[in-house]
Amino acid sequence: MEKYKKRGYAEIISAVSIWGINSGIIVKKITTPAFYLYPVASLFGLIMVTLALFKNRTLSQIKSVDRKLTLVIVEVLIFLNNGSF
Amino acid sequence: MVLILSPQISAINIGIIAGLASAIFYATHTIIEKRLTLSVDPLVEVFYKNSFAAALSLIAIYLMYSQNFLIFSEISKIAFLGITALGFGFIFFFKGLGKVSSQNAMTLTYLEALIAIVLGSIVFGEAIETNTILGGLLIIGAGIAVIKIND
Repeated sequence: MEKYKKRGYAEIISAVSIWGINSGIIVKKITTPAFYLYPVASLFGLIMVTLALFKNRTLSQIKSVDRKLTLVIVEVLIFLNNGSF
Repeated sequence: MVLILSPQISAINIGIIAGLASAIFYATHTIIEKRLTLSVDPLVEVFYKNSFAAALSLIAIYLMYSQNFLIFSEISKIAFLGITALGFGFIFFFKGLGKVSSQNAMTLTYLEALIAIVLGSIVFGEAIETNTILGGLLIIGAGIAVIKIND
């Protein structure tokens, strides 16, 4: 359990470090208006995640993504409606 | 954070209000994501998160700023930003969020500002003031304290 938690902290610190490096170096080197930055960058992030998502997955696993999308939408709607899950 | 942002935070302006609103939305987002990590693969979560973000914001900027839609000379830098920060960054974050509490995860996200300041100093030679060091120590100290108390 302790090892599981340590791994979680290491993953979060890795994510935060990546964000810090990007905001500290990359964002300062970009002159593109901030308004364009997130949508265009998220498109590249989406391409990378899509490749990772569909790599080594069976057709049935890919199909199950649709059911999970329904779950995500329902969760958000419940949250918006009740203010809690 | 006030110590780090000082003296820029001396006057309330639209930028600070937008920053605070962003913090509220981000905290809400982390709570929702924590809930979802119990039943959904982190990779699938990031996939849909980036899908909605890309689709909705691209439509919005196209409608509002149809001219000079993209600055192509900087596309490689933006691609790097998207792949690392919005790709790897969020996958790591959501994987970690499944293992620790959202409260501890949110506390650790404050380290992002510190890393950016340290890198700004190393790469761009920006000065680090006493207030910044003091604020940084408070963030690190508070983060350790929150994690120790919660665990």
